[in-house]
Amino acid sequence: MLFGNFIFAAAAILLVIGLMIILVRDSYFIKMIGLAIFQNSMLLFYIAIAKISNGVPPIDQLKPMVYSSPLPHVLMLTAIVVGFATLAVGFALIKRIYRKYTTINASELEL
Amino acid sequence: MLLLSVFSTILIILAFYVLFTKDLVNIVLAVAVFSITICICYLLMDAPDVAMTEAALGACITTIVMFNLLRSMNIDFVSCETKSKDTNCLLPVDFSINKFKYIASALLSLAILIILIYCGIDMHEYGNAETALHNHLSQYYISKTSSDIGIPSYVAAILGSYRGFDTMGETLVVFIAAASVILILNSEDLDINEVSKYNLYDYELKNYDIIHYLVKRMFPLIVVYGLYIQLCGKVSPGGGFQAGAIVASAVAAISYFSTPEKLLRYAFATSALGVLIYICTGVLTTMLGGEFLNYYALTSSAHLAQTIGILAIEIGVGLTVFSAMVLIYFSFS
Repeated sequence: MLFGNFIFAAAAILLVIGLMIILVRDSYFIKMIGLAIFQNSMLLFYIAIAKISNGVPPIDQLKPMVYSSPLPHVLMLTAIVVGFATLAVGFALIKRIYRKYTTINASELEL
Repeated sequence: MLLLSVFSTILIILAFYVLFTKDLVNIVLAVAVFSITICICYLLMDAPDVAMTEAALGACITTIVMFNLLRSMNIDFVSCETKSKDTNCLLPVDFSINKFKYIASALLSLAILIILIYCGIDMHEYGNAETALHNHLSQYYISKTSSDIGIPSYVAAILGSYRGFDTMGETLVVFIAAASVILILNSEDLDINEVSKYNLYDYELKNYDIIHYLVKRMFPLIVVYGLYIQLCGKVSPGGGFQAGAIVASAVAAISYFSTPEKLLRYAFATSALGVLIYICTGVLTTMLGGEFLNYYALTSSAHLAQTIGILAIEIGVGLTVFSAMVLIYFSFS
């Protein structure tokens, strides 16, 4: 039971570590990576609840079978693409900050 | 089950590594390994489509964009480990100076973890088929797809047809993100002369004959593979999002030896063209008497109409994602 649900616990721990990276690290670059880990933990959780044990991937096999749920897969697939796009916008902002202040550390910025 | 636990443990270890390590280059590499590991986890949990997207986008394009960003910020790769505080690559976690901040955020994170675990006690067991998720909407999609849409991949059917309007929004978001990256970094960043001048001649990568040979031979193969993923997304894992990312990674690899100037000049236009193809498909269906993105209006044969509609919007998605990824990659170089 505990061993079987470990993937849910892993998603929770990853979420907390991502939050921790955002709060503790000084560099904006690493803060963005923390945000990415935070997001990935959510994706992992959604894919984990879609799985049925001894199910197969959701592609029609032309005979009655147990399929894992395709709906979270669709939502998370688009979330990965949009997540990358927003990450790229964040990196662009970091590059602008570096160009103006020649640092990307929060403590060294005097705004 | 055991395999999944092992890989999720590796994920946690990698996340801790990112939390504590100092070197930015090592962090980027750790994130790349993180992406590959989470991709294996998706594959073990019956999600080949998601795994393919993560491998193409998370592991490939994100890593090269991060390296491009670090390179543009004058960070010395080779001596990163040895130099001390005056370089940018060493970013110490100030545990000693800012102890209060560290302890407060650790306590906050611990509290959130305890709340999450407490909520998770009620949760159903992993792999249980009796939950609400598997019995209402998912059951509808699985049982109706072969008669409604007539294509084998349930994911492509939901993405293209059942939730086509949703996907249109996602495509628009990708287009808007590429546009905002260009606007945030000034337009001189996309000056083609500057890109070709900067493009890795200082890295002397083009002097390595083996890499040049391999990239030149691999490039057409990767493009053909991307087109296969694009066109066969209805019968197997794949589709526009994955194909766009794969072809964009091929272009990124070839850019180390020659800059695709024409492509860069028209990339923004093709990115908009993809969105336009998507919206025009929807407008066409309304003009033929159906609702927006109701493909049944296209022809009298229901399954053929769905296939044509999904193919059209997947081409639009692929074009937009490909052009947006190329634009983002070259904006950071």
